[in-house]
Amino acid sequence: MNNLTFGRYSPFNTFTHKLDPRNKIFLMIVLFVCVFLKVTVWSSTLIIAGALFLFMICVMLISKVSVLSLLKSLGAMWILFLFLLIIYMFVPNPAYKADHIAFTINNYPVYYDAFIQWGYIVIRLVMMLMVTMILTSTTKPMDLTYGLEWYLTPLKLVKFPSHIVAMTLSIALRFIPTLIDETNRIIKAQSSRGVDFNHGGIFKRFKAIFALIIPLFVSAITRSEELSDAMEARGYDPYAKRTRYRKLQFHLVDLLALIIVLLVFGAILFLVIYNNHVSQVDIIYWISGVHPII
Amino acid sequence: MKCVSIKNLTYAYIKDRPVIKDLSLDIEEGEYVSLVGHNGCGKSTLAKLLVGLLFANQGSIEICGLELNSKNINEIRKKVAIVFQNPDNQFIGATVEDDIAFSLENMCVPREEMLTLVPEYAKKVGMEQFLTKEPGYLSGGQKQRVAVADALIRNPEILILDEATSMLDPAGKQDILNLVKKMRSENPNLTIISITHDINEAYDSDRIVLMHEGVNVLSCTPVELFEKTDIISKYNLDLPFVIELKTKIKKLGIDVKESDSLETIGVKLCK
Ligand SMILES: Nc1ncnc2c1ncn2[C@@H]1O[C@H](COP(=O)(O)OP(=O)(O)O)[C@@H](O)[C@H]1O
Ligand SMILES: [Mg+2]
Repeated sequence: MNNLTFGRYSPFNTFTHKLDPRNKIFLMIVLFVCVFLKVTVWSSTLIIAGALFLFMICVMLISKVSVLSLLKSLGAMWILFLFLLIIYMFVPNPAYKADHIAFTINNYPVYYDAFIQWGYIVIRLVMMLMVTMILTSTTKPMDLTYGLEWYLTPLKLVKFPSHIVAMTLSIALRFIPTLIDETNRIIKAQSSRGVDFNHGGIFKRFKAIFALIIPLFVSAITRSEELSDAMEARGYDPYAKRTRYRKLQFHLVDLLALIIVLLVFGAILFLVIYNNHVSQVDIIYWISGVHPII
Repeated sequence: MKCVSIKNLTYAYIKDRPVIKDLSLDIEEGEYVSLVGHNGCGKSTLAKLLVGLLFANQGSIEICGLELNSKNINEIRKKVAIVFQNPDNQFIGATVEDDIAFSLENMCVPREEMLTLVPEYAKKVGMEQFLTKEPGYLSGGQKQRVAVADALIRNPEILILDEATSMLDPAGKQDILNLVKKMRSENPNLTIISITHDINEAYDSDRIVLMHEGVNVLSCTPVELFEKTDIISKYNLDLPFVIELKTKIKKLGIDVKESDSLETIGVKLCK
């Protein structure tokens, strides 16, 4: 229960930590778009992806995001990568160049292009993971909700209760550590009563899980009742007007970050448009004058 | 002036099984009343009725001359603040400052005012160094102090403490009790209704109201209550330390009166 390390907020005070959460959410979306822009010539795409990857590594280092925890979460995803590899290798795709056969398995041809496609997807997934990690480990969950709420405000026009959604989210976030503590307590209490969570067959473990889930639910419901009483007693009315203690502010650093990311985006967009529509030059050829092998 | 006036109050969670039965009680402005009684006798229910979390089946509650009903509930809630038992389940904000600001946000206090009020009240409860801390990093006593700050910042006329110290360690408990004392000396008009199992705590109040199965059995000063030995044994009440001390000293043949303070007893003992 305590190894939920992926993208957990780490309280440093770096450049990225100082950014406005609204800005960070926007930049995350822009970077996602960057990750998914595709050039027709594969080698150019790889070069762009590589450059983007380097950029993200830099951001990670600046933001003091732990590379180790990135590697850990990648390690947890290897099955997904393997699965994707198998799909790309064996699902026939008319776009694969027929004469580029890497090898055959029982007369079934496996194309080079399959590996290239797989490479694209893996590097993209890794980059998406990196972007998400940068966001979540430099932004307090609560600030994220405030940011999200801001983006949801226009929906108020169509009567969407964005503030209620944000309040619900922030309370859920607030109670995660409390509920984790509670879970650990119940595990200990039930273990001392003879429930075994770590051994036995599936059926036995299933039963053991029930001994955890039911008390946990009961206590969560009691908690939520008491919490709603406390909120109501303190004058909370979800439909009434409220003022805000927290104020999100767009600082100079935000502008700087925005400019940097937009520059990256602009450069990539230019290359993509140039390559896909103006002339299908390969960037490798473009830069070095040498044609790539494949 | 009467601050709380409860008349023939009846309330049942389940039909025909009233938890509060025809209870009447008046509380004066500035009074410090302890509400004692065994578990399940309806103390928390009464507290919830007083802050309008529940509505009476019969009878009426008047708060500062205003009859409590679902229409003026918002007015009433500005006058009554409550601190519950479990420190975790009344911590709403993400951090101490957010939590203290929660009531102010609900009262539509402008942000500029909140920025000065929040640290001020955090300081009152000795939590000014913890403003940006999350509840996970606080002890139960600290969380409960934040809850008291939440209650005070609304500037209530009545403060209800529903076993606010019962989940705390002795030090945390003493902190809260000292805080209550300080609040009373700063604002003598603040009415305090404290629900408690700690008889020593109740002994410090102006008046003790004893509840039993939804009825208000007795309402008198602590000194009067502990003279009534029949009641004490009938309802199985503990004796406060002071009273126990006095009985023991009396057995030694020294003449002490029920109304003597600890200092006078000390003086008498030294003679
Ligand atoms: N939400 C509820 N639904 C039904 N019965 C309740 C509820 N809350 C309390 N009770 C019952 O009401 C009685 C009084 O409870 P309560 O006011 O919490 O007692 P106290 O605070 O004095 O220990 C108890 O018998 C309890 O079982
Ligand atoms: Mg109670």
